[in-house]
Amino acid sequence: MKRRLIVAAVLVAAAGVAAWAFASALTPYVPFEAAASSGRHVQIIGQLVADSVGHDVALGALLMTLRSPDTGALMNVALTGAVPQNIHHATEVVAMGRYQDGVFWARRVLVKCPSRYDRGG
Amino acid sequence: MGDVALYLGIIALAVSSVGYLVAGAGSKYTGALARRAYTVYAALVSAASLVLLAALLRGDFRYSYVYAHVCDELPLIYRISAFWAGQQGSVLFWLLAAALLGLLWRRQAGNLAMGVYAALQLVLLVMLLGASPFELLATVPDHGMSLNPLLQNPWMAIHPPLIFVGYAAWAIPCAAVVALALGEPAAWDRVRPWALAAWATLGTGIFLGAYWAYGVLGWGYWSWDPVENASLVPWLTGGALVHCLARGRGRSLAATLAPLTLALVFTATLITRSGILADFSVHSFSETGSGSLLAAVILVLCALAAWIAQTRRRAVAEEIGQMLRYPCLATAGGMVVLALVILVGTMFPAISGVAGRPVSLDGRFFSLVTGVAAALGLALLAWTGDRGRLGLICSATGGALFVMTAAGGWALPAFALPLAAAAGFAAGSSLYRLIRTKGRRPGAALSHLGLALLVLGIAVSSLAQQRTMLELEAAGRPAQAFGHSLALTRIDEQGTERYLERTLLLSLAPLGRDGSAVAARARTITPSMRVQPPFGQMGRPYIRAGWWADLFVAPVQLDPGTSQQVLTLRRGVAAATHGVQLLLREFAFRQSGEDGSATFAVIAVIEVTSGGATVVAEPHVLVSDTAMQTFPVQVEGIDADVVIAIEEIRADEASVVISLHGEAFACCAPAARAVVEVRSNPLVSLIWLGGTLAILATSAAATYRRQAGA
Repeated sequence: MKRRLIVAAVLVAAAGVAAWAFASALTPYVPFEAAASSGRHVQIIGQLVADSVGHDVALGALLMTLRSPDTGALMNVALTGAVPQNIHHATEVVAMGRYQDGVFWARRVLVKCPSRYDRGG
Repeated sequence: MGDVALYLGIIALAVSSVGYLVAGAGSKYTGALARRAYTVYAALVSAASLVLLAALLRGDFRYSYVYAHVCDELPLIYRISAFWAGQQGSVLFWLLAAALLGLLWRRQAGNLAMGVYAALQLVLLVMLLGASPFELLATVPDHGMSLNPLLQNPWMAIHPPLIFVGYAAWAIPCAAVVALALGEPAAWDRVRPWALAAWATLGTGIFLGAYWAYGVLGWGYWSWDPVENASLVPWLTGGALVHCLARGRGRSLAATLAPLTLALVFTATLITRSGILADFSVHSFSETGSGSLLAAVILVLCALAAWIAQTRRRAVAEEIGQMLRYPCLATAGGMVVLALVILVGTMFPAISGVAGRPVSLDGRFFSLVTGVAAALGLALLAWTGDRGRLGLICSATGGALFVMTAAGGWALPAFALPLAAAAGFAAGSSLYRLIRTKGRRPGAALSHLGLALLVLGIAVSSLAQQRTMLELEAAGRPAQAFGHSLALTRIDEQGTERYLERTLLLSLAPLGRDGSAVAARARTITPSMRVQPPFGQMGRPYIRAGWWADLFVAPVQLDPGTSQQVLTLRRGVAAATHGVQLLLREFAFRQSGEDGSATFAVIAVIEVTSGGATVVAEPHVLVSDTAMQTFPVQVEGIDADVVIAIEEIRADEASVVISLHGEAFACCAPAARAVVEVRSNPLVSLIWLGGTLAILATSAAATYRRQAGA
C-alpha cells in the first residue's frame, strides 16, 4: 500500500511538471504586428531579405531582416542562439523569441532550405 | 528496366505471400512455391536497386532521380549515398532491406509469419511504384542538380540506410505476432534477438543522425525537430517491447506493442513525407501522394494492435498490474507514455491548426518531459538494482561523482541535479552488476551504464554550453575565447563558380597560465564555407573534440579581401605604383560578332615598365547592348607578377579604370576578414561514449540471444 502511494505521488508530480512544461512551452505562430505588440514568446515566419544577414560581435548576435509573406512588413531579427550553418542559403526563416525595443530577439531559428525530399531548387 | 523488375516483383511477392499463407493454413503444396517466389522477388528488388545504383554512378541524367541528385563533380561515395538521399530512392532502399532481411529470417519464421511479412512489403512496393525512382525526363539535361551540400558528409551517407534497415526490421516482430494470433507461435517464440537487433539498428541510425547534425548543421545534436521526433517515437515503443520481452514478463504487452511500433514507423514516414508539419520543421517536405495509403496502413496496424490487446485482455491487464513489481515492465510503461507525449507534442501544430491558429511547442517542453522521464527511469534502475553493501557503495559513489561533475565542474542549475544524481546512481549500480555477474551476458548492464553516461553528457552539454562571436582580420590581433587564442592567417579560395570552397586558415593556440597563447602548441585549423548555387552558402565548422569540452569554430561571414589596386589611366599620362609604371597609349576597337551582332571589343593598349623592361599589354572588354565582359591579361616579359583588368572605360575623358592584381600589390590590399562563432560544448564526449556503449551492448545482446535461441 505504501509503495502504491509513493508511486502515485511520483506520477502525479511528473504529470504536474509535464503540464507546467506544456503550458510554458506553447509558442503560437503570429503575424509580425501581433509579435510586436504582445511581447510574449512567439514564433514568426518570413522570407529572408537578400543580403540582410549581418552580425553584432558585442551582442554575439546574428542580425537579419525578415519580410512577412502576407503583408510585406519588415522585422529586424537578432539571433542570440546557435547560428545554423545553412543560414546563408535560407529562403524562409522561422524565428522563435520575443519582441523588445524594436527588435525580435530570437533564441532559435529554423531555416527552410532545399532538403533531401525536395528537388533541390 | 528498373520499373519492369519492380512490376514483376509485385507478382512474385503476391504469389509468395498467398503461397505462404495457404501453406500456413495447412496445404502441403504451396510452401516450396512460396519460398521460390520470395527468392525471385528478392532477386528482382536487388536487380532494380543495381539499375538505380549504376545510373547514379555513371550519371545517367535520363532519369529524373539521377538528375536531381547527382552532378559531374560529385565524389563516388556521395553518388552511392544519393541512392537513399531522395524520396523515391529511400523507399527502394527500405524495400531492399526488407526483402533481404526476409531471406535471413525465413529460416526461423513459420509459413504464416512469412506470408504476413511478404504482405507488409506490398505496401512499400505500391508506395514505391506511386513515386518511382525510374521516372524518365522528356529531355536529357547536360548537368545534374547535385546532392544538397548538407548531405555531402560521410555520416550522412550511413545514417539514413541504418534508419531504413531499422524500419524494415520492425516488420518482423509485427509479422510474428500476427502469425501467433493465427495459431503459429514459432516465430514469436524466437523474436527477441530480432527485436533487439531492430532496436539497436534504429538506435544507431538516430544516434548517427545526431552526430551528423552536431558536426554539420551546427545547431547541436538534437533539436526536437518533427523529423527527429518521428523516428524517436517508434524507437521508444520498440524499447518498451524489448523491455517487456526481457525475462518474459510482459509477453502480451510486447505482442500489442509490435504492430503499434510498426504503425509508428509508418507514422514517421507520413510526418516526414506528407508536409503536414512543414512550417514547424527545418526540413523541407514534398507531397508524394502516398499519404492516404500510409494513413490507411497506420489505421489497420493500430486496429491490429487493439485486436491483439482485446484477445489477450486478461493477460495484458495482469501485466500492467505487475508494473509495480517488475522494473522492466515499469520502464516499458514509462517509455510508451513518453512516446505518446512526444508524438502528441510533435503533432500539436497540426492538431491545434485544426482548431484554429497553429501553436507549436518549444523544444524546452520535450527536454523537460524527457528529462523527468529519464530521471525516474534511472532512479528506478538504481533503486531496484542489486543491493548489498558493495552495490550501495557503487551507486552512492556514482551519484556523488555525477553530481560533483554537474554542479561542481559545470555549475549546472539545481533543477538538473536530480537527473545527474539518478544517472550516477544508475551508472554505479550497473557497474556493480557487471562486476557481480563477472561480465556474463552484459548487454543490459552495459547498455544501462551507457545510457547513464549519455544522460549526464546531454544534461551538461545542453545546460552549460557557452558561445561567443569573434571578428578577425588577417594578420591582425588574435582574439581569445574559452581558453584559446585564435588568429586569422588568410582565406583561401578554391574551385569553380559552381562549387567554390572558401577555407579559413586560423591559428589556434591554447592559453597558458599567464593568459598568453602557447605558441609551441599552436596549430592551423581550417573551417570552411562552401558556395554552391543553387544551394547558396554552407558553413563547415571545425570541431576539436576533447574529453572535458569540445571547441567549436564556425564561419559566420567571410570577406576574403583581394590583393588588387585600382588605378585610373589617362591617355598619354604615365602613372606609377609599386615600382610598376603604366602608360595608356591608345584605345583600339574591333567588331567582334561575325554575324553582324552589336558586340564589339574595346582594347586598352598599355605600356608597362618594370625593372628596366618595357612591354605592351592589351586587356580588353567585350561590349554588347546589354552587358560588358572584361578579359584580364597577365603581363609577360617583366619580372613582376602583374595582371591587368579593365574595370571601366570613360570614352569622353579618354581614360580607363584598371585593376592591378598580383603579388606586388598584396601589401596594400584590404585584409581578409572573418566573423566566426566559437562555442564550448562541455562533456559532449560522454554522449558519444555512452551512446556507443549502449549500441554495442544491445547488439551484443541480440547476438547472444540469437545463439541461445531466444
